[in-house]
Amino acid sequence: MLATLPIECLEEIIKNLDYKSLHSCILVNCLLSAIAVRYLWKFPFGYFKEPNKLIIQTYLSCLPESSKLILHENGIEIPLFTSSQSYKPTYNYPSFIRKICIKSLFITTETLFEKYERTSVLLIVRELCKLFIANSVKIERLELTFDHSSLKNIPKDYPVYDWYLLLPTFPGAKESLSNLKELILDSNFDQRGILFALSEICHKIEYLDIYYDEHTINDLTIENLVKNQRNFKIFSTFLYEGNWSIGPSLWQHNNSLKEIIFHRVNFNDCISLLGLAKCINLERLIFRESFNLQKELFDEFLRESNLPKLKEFSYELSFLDFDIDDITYDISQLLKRTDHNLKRLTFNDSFRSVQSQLWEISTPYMNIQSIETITLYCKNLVLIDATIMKATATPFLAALSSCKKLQELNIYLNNDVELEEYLPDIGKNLAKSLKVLEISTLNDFSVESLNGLLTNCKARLSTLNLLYSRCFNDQYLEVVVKYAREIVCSSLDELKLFSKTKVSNDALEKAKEYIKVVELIEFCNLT
Amino acid sequence: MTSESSEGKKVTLKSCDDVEFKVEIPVASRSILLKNMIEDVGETDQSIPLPNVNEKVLKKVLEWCQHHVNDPQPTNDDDDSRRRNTEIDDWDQRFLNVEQDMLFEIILAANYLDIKPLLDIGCKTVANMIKGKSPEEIRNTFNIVNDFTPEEEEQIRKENEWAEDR
Repeated sequence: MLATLPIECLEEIIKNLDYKSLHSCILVNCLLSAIAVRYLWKFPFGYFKEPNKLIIQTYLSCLPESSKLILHENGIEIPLFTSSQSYKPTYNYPSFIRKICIKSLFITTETLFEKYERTSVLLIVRELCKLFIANSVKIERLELTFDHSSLKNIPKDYPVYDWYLLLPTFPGAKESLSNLKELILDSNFDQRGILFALSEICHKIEYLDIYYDEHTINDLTIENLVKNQRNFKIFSTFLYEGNWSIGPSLWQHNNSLKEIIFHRVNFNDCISLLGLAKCINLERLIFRESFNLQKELFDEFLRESNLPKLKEFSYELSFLDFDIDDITYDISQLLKRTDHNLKRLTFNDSFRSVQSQLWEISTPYMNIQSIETITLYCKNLVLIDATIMKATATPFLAALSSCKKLQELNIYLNNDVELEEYLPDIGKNLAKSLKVLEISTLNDFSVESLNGLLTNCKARLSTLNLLYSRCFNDQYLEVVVKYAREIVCSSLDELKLFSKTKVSNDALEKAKEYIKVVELIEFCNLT
Repeated sequence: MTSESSEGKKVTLKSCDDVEFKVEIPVASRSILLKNMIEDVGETDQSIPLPNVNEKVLKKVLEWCQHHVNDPQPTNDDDDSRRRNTEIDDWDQRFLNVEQDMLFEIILAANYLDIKPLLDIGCKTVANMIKGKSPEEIRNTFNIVNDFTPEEEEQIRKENEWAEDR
């Protein structure tokens, strides 16, 4: 009866299966086999943590004679299933592949040919890539990245990439790569050629992730590629040092962009973020450890931003970038226009302010207007991660009390905040839904204030982190245990403390009944 | 049934074995096929014939539509998110706890009537019946005949050995 279902229904069923069940289906009968094989072989490398060399063996059995000849001429012997000349694979396995990942292909091939030189392995990988490009009509994801570690034994002048840079010129590339949706690149080698070729072929890229290597900075000239896409949704980049000519081609996609992640990006040459301010469908915007972003530029962006669908906004200034005098930020316009959609808000420096306080450098923080805007326009927040100063401490309590769905709160209390009263006040305003509470401060606080915080807290926390204060001792631990016993009514999953606290081993042992894990963490170290 | 929806207009559906069902439009509109038909035709007293669905199955499908009448309509671009969520809620699980033949008939009807969420959970239910089984167990469960020759089977096994339990 199963076999009487139309093919599209059988496909719907088989789509839901894991690879082991797909493997079973392949052996059930001809019909199920023919459907399941297409799903099993979409990206077989993805099922395993360790390289599975048998996958390569099957692909090799599909190589055309021309490739076999090339490998043979280079002294590479291909392991065969059978010595029979008439052997033909049951299916055209390479035609099902939807994703090429050079790294996993290389590592898996290397396992099968462990006795060979790496140059030979690269040659085999090249022939396999040709095979995929020629047979698969739809490569949806291309990962052209290599760790330096996987390259270390290759002579410096060996042209590792020369052929893979030619991927878009392999026979069949126009068809197979024209459906590319996701492209992941690094800058270990100069990839301008491949980017140019891809920008001619690919117009459906939705996701582009580029990471630059710290040592080899090539401007990958990605503008052209970005410009030529029709439905560009996600842009993520690490260590971009380019000249920001990418800006206009990015902002041109202001209607389709959903996520932008700038990680350790140098904004030195960036002259405007106004284009970003108009990406009206943006849902995630992350500035992580970004630097050289001029305050005026960012302020202008904050004033003009119209991102009504924004769900996550994260701004973490690089700690080393603090030669700015004015460190208060007004993000109220941005917050207001998110119109209750914002779920996650991070506004901090990358070392979570603690380090900078120790070094007596100011931390960027939201001004009072911004905090008040949270109270009015951000009631759906589930995460807040921010530094609180004396000036914003009281308005922040109102903001906290308005966020009834909050699940995670990470706050960094500046040295000028008076903890004795503030901690119990925080407790009073915490949402019942809160699961994770992290409070960092360099100052000491009394056991009474901790008790106030926890007895006022109606939430049943699973994680409590009290970081960087050294005052925590056995008495404080007892307060936390009492909270776990009486309010959480079961054990706390985790308690993180600064490693320099004075908790005795005996007390830790005793606390185990109510706290599953107590982790002592070191100060984040700059060097 | 809420009082609000019971005041709504109705449409008559006719199964292939000539049984008529009077159904509120929002309920029938869970089926994209019917929704489009109703929108195209406008108000009519004539019954809509469904030549591919019999009384027993139609009754069952309408029961599902009634229960899910207020669910948001699935959008086109969430294809992947639908699939990733392999959970089936309790009511649906009980609803699909039927004989195999009936389950397949529901899937066929959901496919024909274009009711994506019902098709989804139907297919997931069958997928759950396949999961963790050997080829032989799958054949037994669904009464499938192995039409491979021993040589073909051996070759496929060899080519797909990488996915075998190890």
